[in-house]
Amino acid sequence: MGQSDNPFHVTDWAALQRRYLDALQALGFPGNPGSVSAASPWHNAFDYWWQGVSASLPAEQRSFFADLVRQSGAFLACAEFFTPLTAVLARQPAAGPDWEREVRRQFEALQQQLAAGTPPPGMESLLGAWKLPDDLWQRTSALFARLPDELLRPIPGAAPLGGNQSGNADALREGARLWQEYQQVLSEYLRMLSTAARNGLNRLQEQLLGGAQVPNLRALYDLWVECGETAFNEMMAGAEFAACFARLVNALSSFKLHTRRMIDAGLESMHLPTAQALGTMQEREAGMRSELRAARVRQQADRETLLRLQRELEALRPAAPNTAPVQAGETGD
Amino acid sequence: MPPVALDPESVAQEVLAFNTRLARGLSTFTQLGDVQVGVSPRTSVHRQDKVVLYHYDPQVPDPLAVPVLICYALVNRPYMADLQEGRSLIQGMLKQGLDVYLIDWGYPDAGDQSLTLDDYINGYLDRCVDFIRAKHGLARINLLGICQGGTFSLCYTALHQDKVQNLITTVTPVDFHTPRDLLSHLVRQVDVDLMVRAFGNTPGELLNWIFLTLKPFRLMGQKYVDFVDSMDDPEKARNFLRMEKWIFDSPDQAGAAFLQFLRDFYQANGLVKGTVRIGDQPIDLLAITVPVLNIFARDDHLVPPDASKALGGCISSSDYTELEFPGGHIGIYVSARAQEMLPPAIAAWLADRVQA
Repeated sequence: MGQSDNPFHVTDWAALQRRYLDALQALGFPGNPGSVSAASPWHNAFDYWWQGVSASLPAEQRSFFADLVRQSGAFLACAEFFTPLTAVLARQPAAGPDWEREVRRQFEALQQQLAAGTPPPGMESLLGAWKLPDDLWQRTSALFARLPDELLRPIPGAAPLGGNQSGNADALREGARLWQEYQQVLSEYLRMLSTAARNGLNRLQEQLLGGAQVPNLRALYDLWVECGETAFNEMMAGAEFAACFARLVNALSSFKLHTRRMIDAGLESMHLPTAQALGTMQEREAGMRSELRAARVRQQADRETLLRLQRELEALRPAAPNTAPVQAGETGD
Repeated sequence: MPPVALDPESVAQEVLAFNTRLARGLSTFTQLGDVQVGVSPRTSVHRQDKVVLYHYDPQVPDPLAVPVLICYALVNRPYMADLQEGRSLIQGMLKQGLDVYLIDWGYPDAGDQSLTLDDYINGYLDRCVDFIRAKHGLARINLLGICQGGTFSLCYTALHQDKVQNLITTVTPVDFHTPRDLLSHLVRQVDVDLMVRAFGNTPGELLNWIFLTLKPFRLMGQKYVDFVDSMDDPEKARNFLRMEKWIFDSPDQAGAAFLQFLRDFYQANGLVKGTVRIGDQPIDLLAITVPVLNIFARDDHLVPPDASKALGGCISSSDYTELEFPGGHIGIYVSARAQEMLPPAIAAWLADRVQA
C-alpha cells in the first residue's frame, strides 16, 4: 500500500495548521503570552486526527498509542507555547536586555496563570508530565475504589447492611468522612505537584537566560524535561512530599478498609462468606503450610540419618546382601 | 550563535516532521500484531501452586556441572531476563556454557493473600533448589538473584548455606536506607499494615506506577517522544513494545509477603540491622561464607549502587567480588552492553569457583 493510499498517512491537517500559524505571524501577531496557546492549532488538529484514526487501531495497541499520542500532544503544546516567544526573539538581538525581558515576561505570565489555576489551553498538555502523577493516582485509586456513592450502597437490593438502620447511618457518615479526608489530602498533594510544576518552569527560564543552547524545538523540549525532572526529584526527596504521599495512601486505605467492612456486613446479613471469614481461613491455611514445612525439614533430616545408619550398617556387615538405600535428595512430593 | 536559535518557521518545520513520523509510525504499528517475549527454549520441570520452575535447554554439549538457579523478583515478570534474541541475559549465560533454571512466581490472586516471605523463601524457593539438587545429584547449586529476588537469595543463603555453592546478586537492595533511595524515602511513612488489611493483595499497577513516578518526565513523557523518531522501523517498534509489555505486566503482590517486605526491609531496614525473621528464623547475613558476586548498576534509580554495595560489609565471605555495570536497573539485563559484559563475567566467575 502506497503512502497516498494509506488512511493513516494524512498530513494535510498539519500543513493546514502551519499555514494558519503563518497567517497569524503575518498579521503581526505580537507574541502575547498564551495567545497562540489559546488557539492551540497544532494541538487541536492533532486531537482531531487522533480521534479519526484511533478507532482503526488494533485493540492491543490502542492503549499504548493513546499514551504515545498524549505525550506527543505535550510536545506540540510545547511548540505552541514557545512559538510566540520565538517570533519575538527573531526580532530581538540575541541575549540582549530586550531578549531577557521578553523571556521573563513570557514566563511570568505563564506562572501567574498557573498560580491562578487557569493555564491557557494547550498548556495542560505542555504540563502533561506534571499532571501524570495526578493521573496515575486517580487511575490507581480507581483500581481500589469506585465512586463513593457507589461504594456507600454496596449491596443493591439487600436490606441495607443487615437492617441495623442506626448502625448503617453511622457507617455511611463515617464513609463520607473518610472520603472527604482523602479528598483533602489529595488536594494538598495536587498543590505540591503544581508548585513543583512552577519550579520546573523557573528552572527552564533560568536555563534559557543562563545561555543554554537550544538549537531546535526538540532541544527545548528535552531541556524542559530535564528541568521538570530535577524540580520533581527535589520535591520528592523532601520530607514534606513523602509525608503527604504517606497520608494520601493511608487516607485511601482507611476509606477502602471501611467500605470493605461495610460490604462484609452486607454479605453477612445474607449469610454469604465475608472477606474477613476468608482471611481467617487463609490464616489457618498459612499455619498448616508452616507446619507442613517443619515436618518436611524433619523428614529430610530423618532420611539423612537413615541413610547414614544404613551406610554404617553396611560397613559393619560387608558380606550382607545389598538393600536399596533411600536417596538423600528425594522430597516425597 | 544565540542561545535559543528558534524561529517560527523552524518550529513549524519541526512540528510538521514530527507529525509525519508519527503518522507513518501509526501505519507501521497496524501491521505489527502482538509482540512475542522470551527467546530461549525451555521446559517446565517442577510446579507447586502457581510457581513454575523452568529448565533452559543447554546450548553447549558439556555445560558447567553445577547449574544456576535464577530467582526473580515478585514484582514484574521474569521474561525480562530472556526478552528477545540478542537481548537476553539467559541466552548469554547459556551460550557461555551455563546450565540455567528460572523460577516463575506466577500471578498471585486473592487466594494467595496470606502467602508470606517464609512461604516464598523456605517454601517455594527451597523446593526448587531441592528439585535441582536431586536431579543433578548435587549437594549445592549456584544461585543468582535479580533485584528483590537477590534479597530473597541472600535470605535463603543465610538459612540454607549447605545448599548454595556460589551466590550472585544483581541490582539487589541490601541497605534500604541509603540517601539516594527515593523509593524507600517515599514509602517510609506509609501504614503498610492498614494498606494490606484494606486491599488484601497489593495491585501490581500501583507498584508499577510508583516506580514510573520516580522519573515521570523521562519514563512517561520523553520516552514516547523519543520513540517517535524510530517508530517507523518495524523491528525497533517491536523492541519498544516488548519493553512496554514487560513494564506494564505487573502481578499483584501477595498481601502478607508485601507487608513483611515493605515493613521489615524498606521501613525498618532490617536486613542490615539483623532484625528480619523469615518464619521463625532470624536472618544473619554474617552467616554467609560462600563466594559472592555482587553486580550493581551505576545509574540505578530504583536500587542505588550504595544500597547494593552495602552487602560487602554485611557478610563473612572471604571471596566477595563487586562488579559495576555502567547503566540502569533494566539496562543491566537488556542493553547491548550488558549482553557483552555480564554473561561472560558471570560464567568466568562461576567457572573459577566450580572447578576449584
